Amino acid sequence: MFRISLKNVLARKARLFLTAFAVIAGTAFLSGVLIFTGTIKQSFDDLFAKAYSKTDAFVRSSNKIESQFGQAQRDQIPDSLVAAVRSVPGVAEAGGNVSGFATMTSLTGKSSQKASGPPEFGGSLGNVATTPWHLTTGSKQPSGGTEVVIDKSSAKNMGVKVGDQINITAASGSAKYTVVGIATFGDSDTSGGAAWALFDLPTAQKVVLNKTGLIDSIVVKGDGSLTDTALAQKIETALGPTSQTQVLTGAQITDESKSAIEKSLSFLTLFLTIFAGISLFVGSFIIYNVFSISAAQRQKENALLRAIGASSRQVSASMFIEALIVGLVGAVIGFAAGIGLAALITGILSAVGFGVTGAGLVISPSVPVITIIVGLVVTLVCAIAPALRSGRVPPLAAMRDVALEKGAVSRGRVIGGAIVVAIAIASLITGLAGSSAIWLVPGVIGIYVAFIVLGPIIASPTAKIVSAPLRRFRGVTGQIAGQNAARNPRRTAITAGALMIGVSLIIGVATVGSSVRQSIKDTFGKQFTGDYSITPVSDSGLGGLPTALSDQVAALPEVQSSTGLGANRITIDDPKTGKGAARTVIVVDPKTVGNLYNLGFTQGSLQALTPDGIAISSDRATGDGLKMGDTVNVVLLNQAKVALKVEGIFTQDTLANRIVPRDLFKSQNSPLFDFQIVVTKKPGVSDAAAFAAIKKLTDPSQTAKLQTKAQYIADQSSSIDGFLNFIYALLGMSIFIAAIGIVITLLLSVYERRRELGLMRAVGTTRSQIRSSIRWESLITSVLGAVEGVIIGVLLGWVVVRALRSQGLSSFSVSTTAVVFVAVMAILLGLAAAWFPARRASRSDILAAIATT
Amino acid sequence: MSLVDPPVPQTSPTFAASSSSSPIAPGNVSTATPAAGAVDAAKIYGSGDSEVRALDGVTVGFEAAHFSAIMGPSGSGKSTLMHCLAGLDALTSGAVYIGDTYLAKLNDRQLTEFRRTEVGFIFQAYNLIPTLNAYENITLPLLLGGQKGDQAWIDRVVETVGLRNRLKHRPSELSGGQQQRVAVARALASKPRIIFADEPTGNLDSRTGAEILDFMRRAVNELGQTIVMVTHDPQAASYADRVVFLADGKIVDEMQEPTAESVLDRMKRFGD
Ligand SMILES: Nc1ncnc2c1ncn2[C@@H]1O[C@H](COP(=O)(O)OP(=O)(O)OP(=O)(O)O)[C@@H](O)[C@H]1O
Ligand SMILES: [Mg+2]
Repeated sequence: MFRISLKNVLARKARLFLTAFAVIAGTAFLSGVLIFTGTIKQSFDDLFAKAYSKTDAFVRSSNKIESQFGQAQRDQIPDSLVAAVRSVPGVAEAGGNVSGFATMTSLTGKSSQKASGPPEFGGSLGNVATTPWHLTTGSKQPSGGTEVVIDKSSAKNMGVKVGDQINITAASGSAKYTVVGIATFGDSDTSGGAAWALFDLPTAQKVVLNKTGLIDSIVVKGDGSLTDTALAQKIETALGPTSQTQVLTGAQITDESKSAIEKSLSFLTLFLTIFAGISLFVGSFIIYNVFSISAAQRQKENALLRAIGASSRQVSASMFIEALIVGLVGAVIGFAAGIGLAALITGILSAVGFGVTGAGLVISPSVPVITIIVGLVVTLVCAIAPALRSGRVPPLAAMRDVALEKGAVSRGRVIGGAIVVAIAIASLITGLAGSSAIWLVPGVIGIYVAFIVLGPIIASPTAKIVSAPLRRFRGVTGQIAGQNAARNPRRTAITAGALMIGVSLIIGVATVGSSVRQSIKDTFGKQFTGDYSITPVSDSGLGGLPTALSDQVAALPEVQSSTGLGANRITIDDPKTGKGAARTVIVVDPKTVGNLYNLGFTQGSLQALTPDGIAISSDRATGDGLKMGDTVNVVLLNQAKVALKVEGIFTQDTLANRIVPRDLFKSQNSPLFDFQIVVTKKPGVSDAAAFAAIKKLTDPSQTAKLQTKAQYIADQSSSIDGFLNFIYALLGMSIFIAAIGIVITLLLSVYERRRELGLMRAVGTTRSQIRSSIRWESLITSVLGAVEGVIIGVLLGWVVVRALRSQGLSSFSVSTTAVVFVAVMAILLGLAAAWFPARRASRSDILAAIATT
Repeated sequence: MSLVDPPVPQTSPTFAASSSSSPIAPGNVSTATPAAGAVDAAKIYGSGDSEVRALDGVTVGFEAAHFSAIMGPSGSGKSTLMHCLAGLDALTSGAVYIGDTYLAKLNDRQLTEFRRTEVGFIFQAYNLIPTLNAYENITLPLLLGGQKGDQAWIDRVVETVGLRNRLKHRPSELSGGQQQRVAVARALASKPRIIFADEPTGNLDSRTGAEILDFMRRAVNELGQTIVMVTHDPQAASYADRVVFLADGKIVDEMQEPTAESVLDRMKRFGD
């Protein structure tokens, strides 16, 4: 039987290639994602190995607040500890280190980054014995308050050389510094795409931390007399528990950094894997379709095998073995294509400034194993039903003529579809009624299943309805196209279904996106009562605007008031369990906040917050059972325990659920930043004059963005666009696979109908008429998929928006742009997918078609 | 005779049937203008050792408003001749014409349109488009040209073929005989100059076959249609006005007003 299968596979190279193509497309994405994330992980691992290559022991504060992603936020330690560490026997060298947010621009305004995204740091260069940085020739160590060494990549991007001046903005504010050196990180231009401004330690403390006498960590190099573990032990004993420090070995700090990055990368991996899964799922439609069609086309041949004595198991098995071969070949090529895909992505990333690949792609042996297993399993699962169906073919079928697939509207299908619809609707209603949003998941999945199950039932009538007007203005070719699309409803439905999935996800995401945009517009329009907004240019999420900037703006004669908003993390005890959990709070300055923000306070106000007060949203108040005057126990980063009193309750909670006054952090070492400054102008001052005056203040630093209220709201509402575009690009892959599916299905159909096409040609159908009828058939399929997709997508979007209503998603809005885009895309896709099959069809051999055998 | 420099006739094809290059002088040359014909037609498949001369210098004419049959042993080139006459295949050398049009002069698009308007086809099987019903199949060539056609004529054709109450049926819902009748009706519907039929009754039982042949005969008699039919069956050939015999790609004989017996007699001699 295996020989027969192999012969079958080889005899139909074109079909093998087409089937394998669906497997290739599906698995390439998966393999690409695995390789890509593996490569990123490796490059970070290398990065940390390099960063701590000269570190034998590492001293830092033991006070921290956990973070959801990445490393915990740590307190600073006094720099007096450096001397204490240095005097421990076994220590050869110890150096204090500082690092934090700092952003650089050239005097002409050129950024240190090619694209915003990678973080921007400022810190201490450290001493030669412990630093991972190498100064390039012509550089010197920075010293004094105005000298800086910058990484080579930033120097290139800004077009700066030794001796030039640059602007640096950090917690201390903005100032000009002279570049005295350019450094490389090991042998790379910088560390993992980040920008670094490196000072001597006292300057770094002042600029980056805006404090004196504090450092983040101490890097220790041993004299070789002790093992790293013994050295760390010795230092820990010497410093004692009162120092609130923690001592790690070089290996420990490296591992910790690696696993922190791994944690945040695992989110990216999961996210990308989901999209790879979607592509594979869409691909499985195509794989299933190809096997179904080839089973139908081979019905006669299989019947002949049965007639001459093959058992039905043997026939099924031969089909299955064929699937095995196709799956294996496809997955292996898919794996290889994934390498190309990963190379493409990393290439693009490093072109825009994320230097993630130091040492090329990293392909762990698990990647081909996973890819091939997944590809094989998916292919085999898709082949089960067609293989069984071929086995069941009666020997008598060998004598019959054309092999048409069975009709679509079986009773089982209708009943099954109806049950799925009922379950889906019931779960959706349960979910939306509010009992638990988890019900929405089976509900949404149910809707998809229903469309897939009922697809063949609606495909035929839809194709006929669409082809009715087609016949009017395209004549008989339009009619034939419609009937061809309707003749194998299952085939058409599955081909359209593959497209439906991608389209529905795009429309769903677009609907949620446009609802978010609308909600932001609505709520910000209400809450934001200032005239202008100042926000950081960089959106790396690190640092922000120096808190002093708000006061400088307020001091302008054109300005009535100005206030800064910041965010910070503190540990808050759960009022019910008493357990602490890290939370983000919004930090305001009650002295200046005035009524620049309208958050709908029902009790208390932002202005009236005392240094020991907290304002909470009414939802949080209900959730935690808190009322005015109640106590909320919090722990700050420096382990200070504070009992805060509830001094305000507000209803508009899109900004935050908890708001605290800036003075709460007076005792904290880490610098505070504002993520926004809100400004109102003095009455009587012209808009232009006020704007110009503020701009003069914010411009020199190049790091603050001044916007009018309208600009700011528009900017905010489009803030999710980048993320949405990223998702669209990922979903584009599944659309691409669906288009390939249309091509494959059409090609197989054309092959199946070659006789008919030849006959059409014989009786006078021109080549262009044949092409046109294939094009229309393709269009009918793609438009069917798009229409289904739009319907489910809008529904999906609506369900998500409804479910998130309590999270502040107050508006529902369907993105007409997305719908129009999808419609145009579906038409273009249909036309493009038809191109090759139409060409093939128009070249059908007339004589071969009318030959009697 | 050179293959590279075929003798394309410069004058009207009227004389074609009596061309001197014909291997045998036909005994009873018709004086009517041929509706279609071939002049020194050759068709060669393959090359070298595997060369097959499917047609080897065929010169023949088929009269208008006549029912002609082509006969010959299997592999003698009947289908090849018919395909070339109908513009479905190209000759290696020589020429074919329908009316006063030399087919070799037409490009693919012109040839397609020519087939649609001037030529009707009836094949042995696979005659109909499975997605179209009987009526749509009948009018397909007209529909393809975007024409309505002569409704009265179509009605008459449908009536004559006796398909009035089967028009809405798909081919899969028709018997083999009915399918062939639809094919005949389609061939007639666009009033082509000539109809080519390749073993139109080859797949049918003798009674159904007789019905179809009878119908074709009436189309010639009553509607003035020109029909050229390839057949193996002496009985079928007896419906024709004239039979042309082909052997090894050459015209070897012809017979006017054939009967089943006379054809059978002639056919037996091919065995020698
Ligand atoms: N495409 C082709 N390639 C090679 N040889 C061919 C091809 N088509 C036909 N032939 C050869 O040309 C010769 C004539 O074939 P043709 O089909 O015209 O015969 P026929 O008279 O119609 O036979 P039958 O009565 O069996 O249908 C045969 O020897 C055949 O093998
Ligand atoms: Mg033949």
